Amino acid sequence: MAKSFLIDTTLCTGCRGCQVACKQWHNLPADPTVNMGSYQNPQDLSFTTYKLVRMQEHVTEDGLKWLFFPEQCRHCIDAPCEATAGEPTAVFTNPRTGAVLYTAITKDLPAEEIIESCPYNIPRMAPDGTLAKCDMCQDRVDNGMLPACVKTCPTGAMSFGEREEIVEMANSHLMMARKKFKNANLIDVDTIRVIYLVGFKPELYHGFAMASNAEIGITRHMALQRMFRPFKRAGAQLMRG
Amino acid sequence: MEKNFLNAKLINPVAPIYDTEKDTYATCDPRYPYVGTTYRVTEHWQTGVMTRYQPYLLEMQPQMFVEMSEQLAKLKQIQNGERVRVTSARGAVEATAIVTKRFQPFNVGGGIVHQVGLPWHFGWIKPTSGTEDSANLLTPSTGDPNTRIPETKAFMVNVVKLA
Repeated sequence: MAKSFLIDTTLCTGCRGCQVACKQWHNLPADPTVNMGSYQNPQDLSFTTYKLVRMQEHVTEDGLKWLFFPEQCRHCIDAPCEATAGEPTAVFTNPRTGAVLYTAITKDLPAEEIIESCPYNIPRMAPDGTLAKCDMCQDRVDNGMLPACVKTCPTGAMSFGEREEIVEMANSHLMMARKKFKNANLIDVDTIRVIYLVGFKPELYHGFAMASNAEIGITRHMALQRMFRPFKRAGAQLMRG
Repeated sequence: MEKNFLNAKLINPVAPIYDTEKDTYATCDPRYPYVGTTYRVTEHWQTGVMTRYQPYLLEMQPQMFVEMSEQLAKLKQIQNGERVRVTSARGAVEATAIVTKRFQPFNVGGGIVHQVGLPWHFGWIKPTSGTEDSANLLTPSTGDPNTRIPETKAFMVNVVKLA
């Protein structure tokens, strides 16, 4: 069954410990930033930012809310980016954990196409075309540790474990959250490994919080990619000699 | 006329008042029409002398800011994210405007009173731009009569767009 996360945004205080812990563990540099009229910074994910707490202020049915959305790769159970890449040495799923992983070989693949295929707009490209995103802290998880973001969360908003347990936990958190937020819901729980619990409509948090209807399931483009994959791979192998 | 709606006295009669040139105070002065207050953010500690040197913390809170209501921003024609100057009877700082619904004008004695809020985490050396300073330049040098805990939570300021 592999692993999953639960991110209960109703418990998130926007402290951004996860954002820093992620950079620290992956030894990523700080992006140069300026204040753009919001506490959120950096403004977007990047090749060197895998985790970002997005912040939005909305007047809801419960009054003014400051909504925090600790964004990261959802590690799709059937990842469109992996299907689009069609190259297991570049993008593959680790069967033990379910983590969708990118390698340096992504540099040789059409980056825009892979980014476009992500329903959550997650992968980011380096100037040389290499793609990067959250790696579920594979090295930590393989050694029995929690992902850095989960480990550092001080409010219990983030949990990580066996998928079955996390889905159960998500449902019990949802029951609790519904007492306070009548529109509370889980986002795309059946298709991804990073399950968000939101108190309000997903689009209030972030445009890509939830996969749009058009992007659920395998698109025609991806189906074609999949069909031609064996030929492409054989061709690539011939080229390499 | 200046009137304290909470007490017959205008100020605490035993509050320490120092008589230096920096100890000028203004209450209902038209040059400083808005209430200022100060606070901290999670990312920085006190004046930021340790936290501003941490790239990850400076990445998240890179610049001095001043938060204000949408109503005040409209009044002063300030756009969200624009640089502004905040002045008090004692000093001035530059800051980036954060226009937010979290700030709402007060109704005091039948009139509208606007409030702005600033952190005091910024200062010299980091960030290297040299433009970020501390709200401590605005706040009065007084404190509570018993312990002298600084009174940095209520003072009068003006906010203008940087030309």
